[in-house]
Amino acid sequence: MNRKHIIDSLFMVLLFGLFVSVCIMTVASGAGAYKRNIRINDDNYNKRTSLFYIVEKIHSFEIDGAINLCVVEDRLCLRLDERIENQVYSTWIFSSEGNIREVTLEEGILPKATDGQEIISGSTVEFKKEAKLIVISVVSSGGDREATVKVCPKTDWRSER
Amino acid sequence: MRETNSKVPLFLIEIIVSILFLSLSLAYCLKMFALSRTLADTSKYKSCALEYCQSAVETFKANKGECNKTLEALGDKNLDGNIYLSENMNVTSKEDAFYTAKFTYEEGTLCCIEVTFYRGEREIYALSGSYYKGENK
Repeated sequence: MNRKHIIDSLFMVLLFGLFVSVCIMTVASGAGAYKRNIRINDDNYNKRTSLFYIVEKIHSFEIDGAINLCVVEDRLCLRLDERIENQVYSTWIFSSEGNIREVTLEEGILPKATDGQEIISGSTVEFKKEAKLIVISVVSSGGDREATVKVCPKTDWRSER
Repeated sequence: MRETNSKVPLFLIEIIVSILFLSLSLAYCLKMFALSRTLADTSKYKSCALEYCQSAVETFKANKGECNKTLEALGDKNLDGNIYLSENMNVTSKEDAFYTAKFTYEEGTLCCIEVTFYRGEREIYALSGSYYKGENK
């Protein structure tokens, strides 16, 4: 009788152990799925924010400004020029060290890789020309796809080399 | 003897209940994963849709409101307004992802494009843009 009692108790302990391990597995898998979702959402949010920030920036320079694509230190950068009190200022948008940066400088001054402010960290941007369109592509470091948007500025724009 | 017989059903009940709870836990786990997958997919497809729709509207502007040129530039070989994207989307889905571009005209000067993004039968995102002829240089 005593031996049977021990087996019963052992079974209960084993069953409890099984429940605990299943609970831990469930919580761990749930946390993993949540983490994955957050990563995907963050990635999409970062790409969308940076893409549409640049698109809106281009559109805001359509009336009085000039839009240019220029090569600086072997990378194609976006240069948006505007005249303020007889002085032309250039706003540069470019990728540097895995981040998208923006800097406003006087005309003729070229930006360095560390100049300006980070718009979005952990993402890189590429510009291409396609007939009248500027193709903007953003890739984030943890992302699985490239986000691309085409922009058609109302004003004339140039691609300089 | 009577005591032993009375313990057998209890033992069986314990096993049945434990199997039931385990099955329930696994079922909820599977449901949660399916939901998580759907959420992630929807988020991804909405982003794709927004980007493609925005690009379609901008391409329309670049082609000065000319529907056929726009459709051609977007990759619609049949010029029927259905632009299939599965090959370019880098997604692991058997369902076709495509958008339809519908053009409308108002009073001869205003051209509109309505872009609706689909994945299979499901409508994911819709966007519309307009272009006044003569607005672009």
